[in-house]
Amino acid sequence: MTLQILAVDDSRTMRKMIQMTLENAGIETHLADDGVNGLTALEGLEPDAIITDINMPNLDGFGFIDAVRAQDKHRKTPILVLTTESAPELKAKARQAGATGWVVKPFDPDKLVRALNMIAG
Amino acid sequence: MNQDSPAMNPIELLSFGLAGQAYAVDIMAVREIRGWVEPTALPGTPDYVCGVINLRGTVLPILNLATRLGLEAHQVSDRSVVIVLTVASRTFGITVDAVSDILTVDPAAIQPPPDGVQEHSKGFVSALCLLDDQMIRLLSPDTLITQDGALAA
Amino acid sequence: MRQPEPMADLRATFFDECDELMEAFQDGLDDLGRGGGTHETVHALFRSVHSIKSGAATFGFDGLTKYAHNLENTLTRLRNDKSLPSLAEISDLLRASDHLAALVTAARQGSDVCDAHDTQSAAPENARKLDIRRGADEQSDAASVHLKPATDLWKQGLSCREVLSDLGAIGQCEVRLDDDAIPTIETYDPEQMMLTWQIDVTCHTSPIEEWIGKQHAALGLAMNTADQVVPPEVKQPERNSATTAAPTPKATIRVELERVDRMINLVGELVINQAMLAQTMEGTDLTGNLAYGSGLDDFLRLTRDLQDSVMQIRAQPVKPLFMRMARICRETAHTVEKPVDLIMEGADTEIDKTVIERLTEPLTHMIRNAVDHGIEPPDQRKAAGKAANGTIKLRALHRSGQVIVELSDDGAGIDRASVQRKAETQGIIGPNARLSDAEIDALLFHPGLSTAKTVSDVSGRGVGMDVVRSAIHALGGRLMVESRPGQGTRFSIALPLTLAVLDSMIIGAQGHTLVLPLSAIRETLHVRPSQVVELPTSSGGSRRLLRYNDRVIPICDLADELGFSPRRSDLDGALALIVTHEDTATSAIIIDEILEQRQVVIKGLQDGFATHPCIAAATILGDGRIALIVDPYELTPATAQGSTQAAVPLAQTG
Repeated sequence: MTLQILAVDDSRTMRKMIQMTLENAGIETHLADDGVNGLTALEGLEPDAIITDINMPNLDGFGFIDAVRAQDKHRKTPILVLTTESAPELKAKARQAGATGWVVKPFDPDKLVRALNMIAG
Repeated sequence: MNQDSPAMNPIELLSFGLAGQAYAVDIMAVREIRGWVEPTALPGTPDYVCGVINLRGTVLPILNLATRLGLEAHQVSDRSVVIVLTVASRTFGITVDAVSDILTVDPAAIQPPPDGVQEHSKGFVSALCLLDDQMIRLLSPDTLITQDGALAA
Repeated sequence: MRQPEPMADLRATFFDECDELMEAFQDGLDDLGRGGGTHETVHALFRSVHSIKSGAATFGFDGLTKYAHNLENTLTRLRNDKSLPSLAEISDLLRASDHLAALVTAARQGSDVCDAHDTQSAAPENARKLDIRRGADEQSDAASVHLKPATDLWKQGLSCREVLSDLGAIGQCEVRLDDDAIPTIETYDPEQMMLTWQIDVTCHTSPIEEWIGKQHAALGLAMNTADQVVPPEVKQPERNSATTAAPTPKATIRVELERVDRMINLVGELVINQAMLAQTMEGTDLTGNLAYGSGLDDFLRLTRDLQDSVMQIRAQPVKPLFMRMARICRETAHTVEKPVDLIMEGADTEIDKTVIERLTEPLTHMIRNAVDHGIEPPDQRKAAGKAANGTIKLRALHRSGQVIVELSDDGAGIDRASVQRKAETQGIIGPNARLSDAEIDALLFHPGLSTAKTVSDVSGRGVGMDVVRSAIHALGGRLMVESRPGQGTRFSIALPLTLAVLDSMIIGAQGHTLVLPLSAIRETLHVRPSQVVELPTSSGGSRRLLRYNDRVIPICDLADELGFSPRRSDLDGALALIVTHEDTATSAIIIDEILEQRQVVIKGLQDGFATHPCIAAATILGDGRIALIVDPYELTPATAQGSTQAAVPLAQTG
């Protein structure tokens, strides 16, 4: 079964990059450009994992994770935080909000796919 | 084939009549020949600029050649012909009475104009060419638009 | 290294996004500068830089990443602050954004090791803000810097001097100049930077790192700090070098301009053809036939839609050009130490892409001139009762089927006495020549005349306003100047749209058919004799004015002005078009009849064509004949305006 992923990032370059990486690995990819649109996109989806950026307009990554975890059906969906921030307190904050893991940009495409397969597969 | 020096290659000229005289221009400068249409007058231009006409969607300035050469008494008429020339990336038309022929001329037959003609035509005639007892004035078309700042930039 | 196709595509996306982000960044700063920003604006600034940083790191643009990272840190502190940034901080951020933009450009041009940024943008106050100091390391060290500036460095208004002097301040330098790239004199282009430097600096490690980090990241010597962290719950996977990516659908295509131009020409023909067909049908008994009528209407609508779409291919807003000018303005202001506020209007105005590109150079020069020569030093301004900050206004608008780009300053105005003296000394004019203000102003465009008392860094490179004028002429445009002593100078560039549709009024004047832009005409009226005021002039003639709404405005007899026929003596019952400019009636144009109102396709006259200054362009009417388009603003007789206000049509002689 192919994996289904929702990726939320406000950077077009990053979205395109994630899409290229994942689709090339045979992963079905859905995209959203901020937290609010991420939540909207999630309404019709039951992704195997979610990738999210932290710094986004309207609703940032922490808020987004928080809102995802508040929904019963997504309580256990693995969430990978993909961001350039690597400060420990931010990691802690993301973990607290309910993030499963953390990948620092720039990411190694292969590594991202493996990480996803591992947490979602 | 390549033994002739370039100067000895025959040149092709388009000859035409204006005010009873025979003139010619290098055929390389000629783009096309058109019948007379009444141009739209262009204010603020010298008297020898008849105006502009529509040449397939572009605006083509027309020079009254007779006026330009100082033959003031000679008028354009419905039977006048417009020779469209492209010189130094500029395209413009000149009015003549009738187009005569395409001539292949040996450069040896071309000679510098005597002073009398030169004076009369402000240097527009670059050479004379004697062909079958007829004297043809060879026009240098670039001078038509550059002398006295006619259309010059 | 050649990158695979999808990566190149991704890179292109990144740079496109960078342009948008830079624009958003500058817009945000502008908002803050105007007091219109909120805390969210600061957040948005942060996100813009953050996105640039992430992308840059992905593609390995270390210099760019590093600088964006530093800027991001600064913004983080600002973001965590409760108060919005001060004006001084905004000014620093503007310069930092200039630097960032230059780094983006450098990365895009593939010169990540090239110092393409302006040295002025790396101002010391900026460095203090950017918290990049490392622990003091007193160890002595040497660093080698390879400085290879972009070849168009000077055109961008940049210079290497400060980079070199900065390095000199850091430690002992051994500098080697490499001039191998300078070609022979035949192919030498003095506007191109051909030099490279190899500089060995002996110094304490800390300053050189700091210097590279904070100011000259583009040199490519910045340290790569992007550490890779894996998700905590996941075992570190093995590295696999086989990475491929699927191609993604392209949102844009690249087309040769020539093809677009050919299409634009053809559509222009189609529009004319459509008009001709409509005209032909009017002469037949088909007019009453509904099917033909509605068919023709559809044809008309489709033609227009097609034309609009085609025009949009080439038209682009002037905003990026204006942004660039804002940068030049800031840099220049910084160099000559004059605080200047730049106001931009009409940045959404769309102009042909080529025209925009070719405007960059002349506008750059004009902006520098305005700051350097136009605006007075602050103390002088205060003495004259003006604000210390000079104001420069850059404005674009559509008018009479032309695009107008205006650059005005509130400086001292043209020092006409000085210009005249200079022209005399240089033998351009005879001694004691009696010149009108307009004639003196026109001297500014004379080759080699520069009025700056001291040759400054900024505009002392020997490019004069004559070059600017030539560049505008080459675009088929005109350059005009108007100046008021003590109040400022305004340069106007009027550019023809290579192809555009003009809502127009087609009129007849003494047997000639002419076209006027509808937008310029406020009202048409029949003249009553009591409305006409006749004033004798010194030359023995008379000047006629029209009473209109409690004012008197000059009367211009169109056929007379264009030399088609002598001035009519009796204006009783004549038809007058009241022409307005920015809601002010400026003149009454006397014509015979209004033939119709419709859209026409603008056709440019041939380059450098010497004609009456008011003839801006031409169009082809339904019958295939050419009608000239009249620019009514050029018609108003100069004598009717105050001499300092009169725009001087400098291009009328081509």
